[in-house]
Amino acid sequence: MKKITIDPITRLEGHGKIEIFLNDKGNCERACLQIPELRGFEQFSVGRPAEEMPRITTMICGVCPTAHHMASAKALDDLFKVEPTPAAKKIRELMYNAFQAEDHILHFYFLGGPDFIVGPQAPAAERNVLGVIAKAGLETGGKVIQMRKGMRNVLRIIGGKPIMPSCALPGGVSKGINEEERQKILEAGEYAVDFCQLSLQIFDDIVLKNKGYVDLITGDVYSHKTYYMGMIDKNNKVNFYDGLIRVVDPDGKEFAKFKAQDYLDHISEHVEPWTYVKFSYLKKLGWKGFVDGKESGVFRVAPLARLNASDGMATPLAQEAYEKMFSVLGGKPVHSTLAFHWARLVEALYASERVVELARDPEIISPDIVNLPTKTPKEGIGVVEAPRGTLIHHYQTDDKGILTKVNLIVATQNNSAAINMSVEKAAKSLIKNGQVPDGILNMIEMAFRAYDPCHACATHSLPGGMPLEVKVYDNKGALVKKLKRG
Amino acid sequence: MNTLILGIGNPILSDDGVGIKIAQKLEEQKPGLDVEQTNEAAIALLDLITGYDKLIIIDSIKTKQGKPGKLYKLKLEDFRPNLDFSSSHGMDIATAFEVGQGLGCSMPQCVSIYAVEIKDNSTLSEQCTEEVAENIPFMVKQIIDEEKL
Repeated sequence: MKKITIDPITRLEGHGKIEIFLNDKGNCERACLQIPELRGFEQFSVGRPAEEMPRITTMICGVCPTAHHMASAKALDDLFKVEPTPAAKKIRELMYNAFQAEDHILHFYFLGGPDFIVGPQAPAAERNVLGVIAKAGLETGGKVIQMRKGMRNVLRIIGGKPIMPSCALPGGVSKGINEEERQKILEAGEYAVDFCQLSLQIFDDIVLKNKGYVDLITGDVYSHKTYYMGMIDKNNKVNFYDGLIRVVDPDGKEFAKFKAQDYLDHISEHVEPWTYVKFSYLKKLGWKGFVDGKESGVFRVAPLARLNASDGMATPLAQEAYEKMFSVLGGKPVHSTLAFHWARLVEALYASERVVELARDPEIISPDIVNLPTKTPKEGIGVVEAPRGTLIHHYQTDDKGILTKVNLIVATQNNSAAINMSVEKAAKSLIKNGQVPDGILNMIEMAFRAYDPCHACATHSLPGGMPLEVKVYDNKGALVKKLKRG
Repeated sequence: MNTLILGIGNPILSDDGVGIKIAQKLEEQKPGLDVEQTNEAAIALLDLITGYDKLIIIDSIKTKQGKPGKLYKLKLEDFRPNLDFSSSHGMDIATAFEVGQGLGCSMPQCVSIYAVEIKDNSTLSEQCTEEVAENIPFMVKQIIDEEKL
């Protein structure tokens, strides 16, 4: 076969673009982050049987397939008005927590870790996952892989495969768990609990004992006083799989608590001419622009938002970690964007503990795993907490179950206004009098990396990287600086 | 030799899914093979590929003057690792190898990367374009012959 020198067309266009506009004094006036999303998916789905959605929606995103699978399954339960059996609910929740734990750990070590464990001021060549491992120890690196392997094996046991799982049906799941599988899940869960505790210890030793890092976390550059949204159980504790959606105000006071089915009464979408990403905001407060504060409808989702919006964690070790975080950071709510990383570890510990709890539940091996739908479908709404925030699937069908309308509110969309605000705030603090320091790229990236926004990994062609570009324009619209990575 | 075949792509984005389609055909024709299909970024794949002696990746590619449906065989060295990534959606396969080796994982010693020149990876469709689809059986055979599967 002929060897070629590859010259692939990059995917830069439309991917991860930050534009910064300076005023006549050379200070940052406005910054916009452009992130693409998979357009036309809703239309692609119309005309298909609704039951296909749990399979198809896993393909929207290569990072969150399990989140889409589960939101879709719950939308189908609601569409066919069928309640999953108790065992089916537990199997789904177990699977979902295994996913949440491995995804959070991946993010912490590979993406967030370099900013903290290696340090924001470290040379770029060291500020990566290998730098993290160099500091945290090679043994920890091996454990990251081992923990994720175990959790992904749980996804394989329940979902058939770790990627693009296919197990949820309206009213339940397609396959139960046997005793041998339960043991494997339990072992993987126990390993994950230990590993998450170790990760919190590493965070404690390396980050919290370094005043510079703590100052950075709590500093004003990375802070926004917004509303927070997250799903909670009947005790107002964080739950990723099921419950009500709760919103707290910037003072931490409950602002709303609602069922997924009522989301349209609470969430609206704002559109800007410069991007096709929609910006979610709280309907009752209205869109007041890219501003924080009590009057603004901007809210945040994902780990820190969930912890802020809840009264605690439903498992003992995670509850301890939750209390410690809020005590160190000065009480609830915490507005520091960089605290998302810490909250992510608290959640990973909760998810791992929950895997263990569910694996120990005798009902988890029950063969009673599906209730067959009997009602005529019309409309269904399902919600889960994806690693990156509240995710809503909303389907309408004809009476044969053929989709007539599909609406997805994805996690990044709920955070998109805040992400832009964070990028802009970082740019404003770093660019003065037309001076654009070279280190700006990482400092700005730190602002949005905390949210881990979805860059719509819709295409997967080689070489496979995800580039980011920063362009700075002066007040006449001329390009004065371009920084690129990836 | 312990071999993993990894089909990479998005099965609902036209030609982007060609790697997955070829992997599925290989699985059908050679039932003993370990085949995985993925739409994940390479960052998430480390746990899947560690422990194998050999890895065969099938993915799509767009080159400037490329003819859709053409199959290229590439090496890992053809890609430049880039450890500096900004989201979970980043990180390419070369970087995954660099990271895997850095973490002390047992990475496959032998890696073949097959890239299919594609026409369209932005239209939502479960079908490949005609130019790509009609070549799939030949590409499957080519890979079987080349890799002696």
